[in-house]
Amino acid sequence: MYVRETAPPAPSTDDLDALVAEPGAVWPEIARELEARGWQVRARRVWALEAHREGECEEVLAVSRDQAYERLRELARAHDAPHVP
Amino acid sequence: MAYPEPLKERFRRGLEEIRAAGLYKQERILHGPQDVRVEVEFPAGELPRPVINLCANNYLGLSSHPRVLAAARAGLEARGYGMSSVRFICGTQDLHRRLEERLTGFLGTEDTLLFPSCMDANAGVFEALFGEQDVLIADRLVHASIVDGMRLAKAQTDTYKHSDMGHLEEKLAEHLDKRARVVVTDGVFSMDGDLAKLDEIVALAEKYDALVFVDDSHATGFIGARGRGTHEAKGVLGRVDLLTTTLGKALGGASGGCVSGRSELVETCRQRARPYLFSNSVPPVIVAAALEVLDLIEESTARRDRLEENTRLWRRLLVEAGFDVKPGESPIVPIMLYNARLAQDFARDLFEEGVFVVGFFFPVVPKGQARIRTQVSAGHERAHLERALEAFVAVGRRHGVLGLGKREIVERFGA
Ligand SMILES: Cc1ncc(COP(=O)(O)O)c(C=O)c1O
Repeated sequence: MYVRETAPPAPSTDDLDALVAEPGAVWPEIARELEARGWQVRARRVWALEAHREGECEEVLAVSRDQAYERLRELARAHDAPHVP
Repeated sequence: MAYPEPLKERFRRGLEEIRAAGLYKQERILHGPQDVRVEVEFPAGELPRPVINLCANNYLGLSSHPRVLAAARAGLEARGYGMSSVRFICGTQDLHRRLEERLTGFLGTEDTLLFPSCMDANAGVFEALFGEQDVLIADRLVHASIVDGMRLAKAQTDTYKHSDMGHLEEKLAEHLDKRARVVVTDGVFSMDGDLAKLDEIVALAEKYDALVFVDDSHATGFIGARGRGTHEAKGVLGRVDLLTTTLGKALGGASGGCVSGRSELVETCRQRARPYLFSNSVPPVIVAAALEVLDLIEESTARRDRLEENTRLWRRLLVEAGFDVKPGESPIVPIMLYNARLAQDFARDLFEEGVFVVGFFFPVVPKGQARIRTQVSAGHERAHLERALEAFVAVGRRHGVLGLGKREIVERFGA
């Protein structure tokens, strides 16, 4: 689960710097706080894809672009599949 | 204000859009118990009219069977009305455990866990059992509750073309690197009434070391020689790892569902499935009645045999009359009309003629696939089906579709 921004803002310079930096090197204090509560925190660079249609929205995160598109296609398919009780 | 005008307006507009698209669902109000003949008020405010019911999931005609009613009454007296608890706190009675054991025996599995509904079973089972290193590979026509359940799970998901074993095999091979592969399918598909090729699915699963999950809601109680389900019909009893089904259709039709299968999997659901943990226990009345339903089914196959005969008869009558019927063996018998408007008008006219059916059209089914879905019951007498056929023929004549195939219907009415 993740929180989707309705209109993703352009990344700030800080964010762009962080993206090219070693994953996990940013916001260490939050990571430490979570780790103190038993979470293992891991930061990864991922592909985030969104598809919107008439108020419907699908979104995926995936490590590879191919995987992200494949997964997005599967999610979108569920909307067009016929459903009867 | 907590409910601001713009928000209210948004919902009003949304409802108008549903109406404009012809998708507004209006409930048909039954005045009396569920049965093969019912009194239906439709549209609301009209006088109820007696109709032959061809759209219930009351496959075995047990929804209002005297022995089921008597068992429900006895259950009410003996075990009370409500449990006021989830199962694991104080919501488990001896009856719940007994029903789980009986279902296990009937379905030919190792263990069973009751859920408030099959929708809940499907919503909970994947999330409880599979994680991000696992993959769920589903038939593209699985029930909506499975789609939702798969979304709730952290597992990776993929799909294969409906009943396309070649495509399933490709997918299984593609996902050999995953920790677990699970093939996910309905036993009987609710739109076309076709059976999953479970024999081939199980063989592929064994070849690629995958688990098999089947939702047998439209099969339990009547598909297979003893009505145990699609796995019985396809000769793979005991080789399906996970099965979900409902008490809300053939098995008395009240409510409730279950996950049944390999004991570790079921026990893990008992520990982790959220709809089991966080939703109330199935009421004792229903549990007591469901036990009686299982007695009835296990005592004799007469009802499922009757259903099979009725299905054959209904299909034959329709085909002989010149309707375009989707071939199949389940009591879900779709009459293809292809055109959405035609399907709507047809269902409305049938109601006028005393037959209760529903038309399905886009987006419920793909564009150009509009149909009337009829569902046969063991409770139908031959006379009911013959009377229903008269109505179908009268309406079919009125619309000029008798004897026409897909091409002619589409030419005349459009897709
Ligand atoms: C295949 C399938 N699974 C699950 C369900 C849901 O069953 P229940 O009514 O017990 O939630 C249905 C009912 O429409 C169904 O057809």
